[in-house]
Amino acid sequence: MQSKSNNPNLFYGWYVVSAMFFTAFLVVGVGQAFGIFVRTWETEWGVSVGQISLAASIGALLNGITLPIIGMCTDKWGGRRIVLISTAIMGLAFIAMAFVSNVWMLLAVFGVVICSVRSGLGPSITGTIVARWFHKKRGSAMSVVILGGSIGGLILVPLLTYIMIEFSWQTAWIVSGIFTLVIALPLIWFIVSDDPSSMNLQPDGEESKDSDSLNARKLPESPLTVTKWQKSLRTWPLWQIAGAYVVCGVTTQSISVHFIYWAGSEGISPSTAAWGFGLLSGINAIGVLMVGPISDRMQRKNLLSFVYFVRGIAFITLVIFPGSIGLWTFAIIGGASWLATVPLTTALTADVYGIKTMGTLGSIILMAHQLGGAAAVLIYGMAFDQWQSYDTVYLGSALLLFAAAFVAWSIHEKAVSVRYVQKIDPDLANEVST
Amino acid sequence: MQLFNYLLHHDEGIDPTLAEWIHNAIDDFFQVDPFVLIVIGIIGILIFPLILLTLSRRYKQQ
Repeated sequence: MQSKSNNPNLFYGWYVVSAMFFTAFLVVGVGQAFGIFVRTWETEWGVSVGQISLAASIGALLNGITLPIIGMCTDKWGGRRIVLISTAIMGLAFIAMAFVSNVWMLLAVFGVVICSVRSGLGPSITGTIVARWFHKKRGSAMSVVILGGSIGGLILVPLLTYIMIEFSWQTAWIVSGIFTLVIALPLIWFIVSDDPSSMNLQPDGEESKDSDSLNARKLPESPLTVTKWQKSLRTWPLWQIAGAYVVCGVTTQSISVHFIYWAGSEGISPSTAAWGFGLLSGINAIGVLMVGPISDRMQRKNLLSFVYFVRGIAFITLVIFPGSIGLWTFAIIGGASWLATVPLTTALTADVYGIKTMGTLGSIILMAHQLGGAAAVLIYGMAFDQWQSYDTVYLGSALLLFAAAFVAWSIHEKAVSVRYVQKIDPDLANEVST
Repeated sequence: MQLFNYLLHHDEGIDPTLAEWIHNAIDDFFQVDPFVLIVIGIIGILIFPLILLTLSRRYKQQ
């Protein structure tokens, strides 16, 4: 049988990646816009900002808790089904947000439904689909999907702010819901497929000499592939990847929440701080796009380690340089490393543990990231109230990032990644796990 | 509960002045009617998925 890899067209896997890029663009972008509605709700509903934030806080917690459950469902039923269902529920929930009129409804629709379902569209779930379509270009493909979320925040937050001011906050949510249901959902339905073999294709669009044989389509096994995810808990790489990723969550989520406060404490205006954060997001998009292809040409753990190190330097600049110099230096250096860890971590997890349990393992690692981030937001707030300065926690974050850089660097990738070893060696697996 | 208050205190919404500033910055940059601007924005977002759907359909037909 003639393999479709002879087709001069672009490999179909890139269509799959592009569809998930757009879904991430919409869902992450709208999710990041939550903050723009808070003051309006406060006035309209006659409630405190704290009560509204409670819905977001409970939602963040639920998002972390539901991650492994949705990851297990993904391993059982396939990523496509989970992404499809999550996108449909998300679209309906966005429209339902337009009819929310009090904090309890906000808690139910945003805190419970949207935040839980968001787990089904995270990198640990979309990564299971990407990992099947791409082996050699896994990092590049993951980068494109993650880039969707970065660009979504950059474009949709200002657009929804504009729609809210010109029309109403309800219109902004209805537009988001219609986009998701009418555009993102058909994209997933018509384009995304779980496995290239379902279209008689090979991963990366490679040509097989014997495309009809079962062996030719069989995926190479990762050295630490397990049938039950629990067994992975006894291996070092999982703890190394998750341990470093916790630090990623600690440093990104705390800055996302506290950046404007920090700027205010340094005498920087909110609009300048917004420009600074915008620059960080823009450089972040370039950084995300670059790390994937680079990581496909070298050991991913070395690049991951470098990214953590660079972010550590960025935090040091916040302590050393005063006011706006610190702001712009951090935006440039920190932006280059901001979400660059996500495609690297997801691709590395797939390389080491294979695809069978990737939904669960990727979600557990992401849960560590989310819970670490939530704890850090709390600690940053307490520290600022205690010392009226963020210097201590910034310095602590820098030290944690240098430790994460070392932990990532210490992963024995050449012994545990499918890119270097493709057969299960029980002795080797035992060796790296102890 | 005190711990929870710390989290809530530092998880506030966007400053209304900042939202207004974003609105004005967009107006100054594009200098077109707000309704036209929103329609252009929506069409701009729609172009990518429509092209993607068309190309993938053509791919499957080949």
